[in-house]
Amino acid sequence: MTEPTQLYIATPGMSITRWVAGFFMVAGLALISVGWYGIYQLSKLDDRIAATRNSAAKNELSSAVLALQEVVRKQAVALGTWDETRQQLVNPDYYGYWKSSRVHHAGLMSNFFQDFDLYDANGTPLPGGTEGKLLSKPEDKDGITLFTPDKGLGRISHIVPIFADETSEILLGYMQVEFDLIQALRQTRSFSMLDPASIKTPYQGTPVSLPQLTKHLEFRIEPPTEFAMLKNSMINAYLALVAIILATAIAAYFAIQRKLALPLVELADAIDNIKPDEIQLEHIDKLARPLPLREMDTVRLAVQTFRQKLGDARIALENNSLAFQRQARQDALTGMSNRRAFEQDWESLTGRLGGQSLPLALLLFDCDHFKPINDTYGHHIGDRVLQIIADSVGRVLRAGDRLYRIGGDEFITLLKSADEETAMDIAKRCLDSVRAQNFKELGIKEPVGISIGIALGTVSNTADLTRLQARADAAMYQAKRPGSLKIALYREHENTDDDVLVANLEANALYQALANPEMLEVHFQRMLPLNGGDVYLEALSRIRHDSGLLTPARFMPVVQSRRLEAEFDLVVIRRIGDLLAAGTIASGTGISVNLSAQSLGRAEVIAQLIGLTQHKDRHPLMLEITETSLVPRLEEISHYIEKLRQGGFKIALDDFGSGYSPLRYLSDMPVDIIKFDMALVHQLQTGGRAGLVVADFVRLMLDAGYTLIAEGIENEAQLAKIRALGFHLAQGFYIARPEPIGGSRSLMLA
Amino acid sequence: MFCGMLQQPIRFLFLTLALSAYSAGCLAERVSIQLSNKITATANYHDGDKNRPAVLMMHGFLQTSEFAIVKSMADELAAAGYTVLSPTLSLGITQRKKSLDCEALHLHSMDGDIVEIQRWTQWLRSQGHKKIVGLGHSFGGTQLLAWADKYPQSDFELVAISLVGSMPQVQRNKPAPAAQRQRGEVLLTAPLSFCNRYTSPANQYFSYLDWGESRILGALRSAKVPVHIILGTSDNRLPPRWESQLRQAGTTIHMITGANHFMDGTHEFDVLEIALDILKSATR
Repeated sequence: MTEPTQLYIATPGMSITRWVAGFFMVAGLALISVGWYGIYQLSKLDDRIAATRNSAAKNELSSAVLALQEVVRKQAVALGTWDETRQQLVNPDYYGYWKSSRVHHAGLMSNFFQDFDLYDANGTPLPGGTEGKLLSKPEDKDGITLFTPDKGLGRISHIVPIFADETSEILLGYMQVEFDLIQALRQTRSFSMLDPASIKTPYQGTPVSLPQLTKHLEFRIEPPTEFAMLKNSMINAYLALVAIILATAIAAYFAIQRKLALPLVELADAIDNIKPDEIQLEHIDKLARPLPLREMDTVRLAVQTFRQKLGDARIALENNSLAFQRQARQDALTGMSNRRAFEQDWESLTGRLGGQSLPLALLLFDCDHFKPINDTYGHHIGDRVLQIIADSVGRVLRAGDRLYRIGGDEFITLLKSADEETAMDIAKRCLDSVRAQNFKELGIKEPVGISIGIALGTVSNTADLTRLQARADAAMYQAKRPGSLKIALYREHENTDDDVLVANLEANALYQALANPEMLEVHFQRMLPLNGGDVYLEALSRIRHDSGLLTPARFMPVVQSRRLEAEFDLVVIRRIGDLLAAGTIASGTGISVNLSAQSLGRAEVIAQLIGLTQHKDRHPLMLEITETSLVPRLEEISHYIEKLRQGGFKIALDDFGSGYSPLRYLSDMPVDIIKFDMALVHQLQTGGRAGLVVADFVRLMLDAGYTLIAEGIENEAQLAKIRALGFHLAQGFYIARPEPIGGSRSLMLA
Repeated sequence: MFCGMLQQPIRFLFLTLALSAYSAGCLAERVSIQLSNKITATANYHDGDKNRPAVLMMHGFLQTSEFAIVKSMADELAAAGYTVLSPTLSLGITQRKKSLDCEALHLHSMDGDIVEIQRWTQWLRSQGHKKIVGLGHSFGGTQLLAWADKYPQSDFELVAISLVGSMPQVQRNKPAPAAQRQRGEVLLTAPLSFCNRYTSPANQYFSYLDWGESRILGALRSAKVPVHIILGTSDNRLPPRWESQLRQAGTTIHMITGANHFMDGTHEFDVLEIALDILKSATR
């Protein structure tokens, strides 16, 4: 048997959504890290550049200041040598007007000059000018530039002497101009290193020249324009890149979510929901939507195709399963439900009952003499017989009733909510329906019929059903008894003459007797030898019970229904053996033991019988087996019968004529003696065609060498008849009644 | 005709070469006079033949001796052997070197200029020059006329080139009104000559304004010295009908065709030629 395929269980992992989110987070962090590192490096570079630029800025400032000083000098000199300046120094009557109206409009002075004043040769300011003090009286015609802390960088003074002549011999006076250093620097120079607006000085000492002031100037370095631009550009670019990437990432995240992750999740869900036992219809719709990626869509189509095929396979499997189940539940021969279906339906019924009880009528059908028919006419005819029986019974059942074939020729039906009358009515319909069939068309000459056992009860579980079935089985056996109406209803506590089966008392007695063999009494009925020979005593069982002595007619149905033939026969054989061993029976008296064919199949029974053969020298042994029980099991027990024959037993076919024993069976049977059933014996007496036939048959048997015993001899006429025919032994009430050991006459005692 | 077209340029070229060669060795001397304790006036001096009249070159209003026509004439006349004194009027500015802007504060007067001319004339005579020919350009001629009017001279001839008065040239109708004369030393601003905004004490302003066309003509009519006036036919600074008025005043007018107020280009040589003729005549 092949082992089942190992299932692969998916290990729990991270969903694609988290993977995508994680990827974008990692990428984002990486981008930020790269950017931060870049900015960090830029900052470091910036610092190094700043240091370099600081030095360069100082140089730049120094050179700018020097250049400014030159500009100031030139302009101051130009102003000083300006004709109008000299005019004012000579004639300062209108100096105020001239200063306010002319000086700044002459274009000789840069607009960074804050103030301009002329002083006479003594350093006295010309009238109409400012009251400012002349800081210095330079002799050098280039003048001097002075920074005074109290005036600050906004008013740096440049003083030049003004001479009347080119030889600088006649001093007319002085000119003092003030200028804003920062403004002047801005106008005269473009700074690339420092921010001129940031120039300041903490110097608070005496007035110093401009070059000296340079040493005390502080300033803020302008970041290199190009570098600043680059840095800003890089930062802006980085931020823009981050923004773009962030926007792209967000868009990509949602796009991937929508186009990739969610479809994958849906696909995974759809795959996960592929259950072998059901179809998730809602997932079919999701699989029907095309996926954006070709490869994914290929997978989707494959999954869809797989699901479709799986669904088809499952449907086919279900159909096959249903068909198989139907086949498993259906009897192939008759088309009816089989035992499996019966058991399943019963299980389903009890499950639905939920512990509640349901009144039920169980009908058990059995085809009479099916095996001989099957053996005589062949399995094909036998099958047709069963089909016809099944069909004819099924037709007359109620619409909700189902017929089950539970055995070779056994059928059963459960009638829910059916009372006794209904059950009987249905049983009769079934019986009539079968009887109405023309089996002769099949070539069967013998009548074909069924026996029906009915049991009613309330059931709530399988045990109840089993009990009911056993009762129906017992009833069916009752129905099979010769002369019955073929329908038997199981009843408790009823008389057996009414063709009903008594249940508990007999069953109890039987079980007690089996447990306590001393309850079993063996009565013997004498068989009269008609033409010499041994006298035989037929051992007949009785059960001594509290209620009295129970005859086989009362307890044998129980034995048969409970399948206790072997157990019972063992007890009987044991009891007979005890009696033989006790020597209570006269030597030379033959003992005939009744045995069921079922018992002959049991080794312990054979062994017990063989045990009796120790008495065969004193008591010829005969084994009686009924025709009805022997014929169905002939093949099975022939071996054992032959063994018993070899052991010393003579085998008698009991109740010959009560069953169905065609000649070919008789010839094949390993029997020595044939005991004619009383019905046949009575026909001898009545005569007629039947009597003639029986008489001829007797002669036939005699010619064949059989020993013949006639049962049921009730009068002299019958006795004479059988004697005349040549029977070897006669038995009946006219001869002797069964008696226990120790009974009135005879041959019982040694 | 072709020869006539070439005549002027050839003359220009010849004279230029000749004068260039000659003037290469004639550099002006810078001389000065002390007008006051603070003001020194300067002049370019070319010492020439004392047998010839000395030329007193006078620049125009607010100009200097470096003015083009003045300098070139001075150089050329010096190159011709004449003594040329080309002063720069101080205009109240010691050792003035540059022309005075119209917008400047003008602290000078016509009277002061005349006095300064007198001082230069005296200096020139002190150098041994008896005959002086004053050659004034534009208002410089007027100033020489005014000096001659104030200081009658003998042995003096006046050549006025592009003689004009002080009347505002552009805003002829809008000089300072006469009422402003009362302001004395108060500064006023008004058009004067070619200056639209001339700021000066009122007295000094009017000292120049008084020397308009009528006064010039009056002075010419009463002039005791020969006066030669050289005008350019294209001088747009001249007052209307100026030539006729001048002729009526009895002056000798030399018209140079096509010359403007400054006698640019080759017209300078025309002026020079006339001046030389006058000087030649004055020498006899």
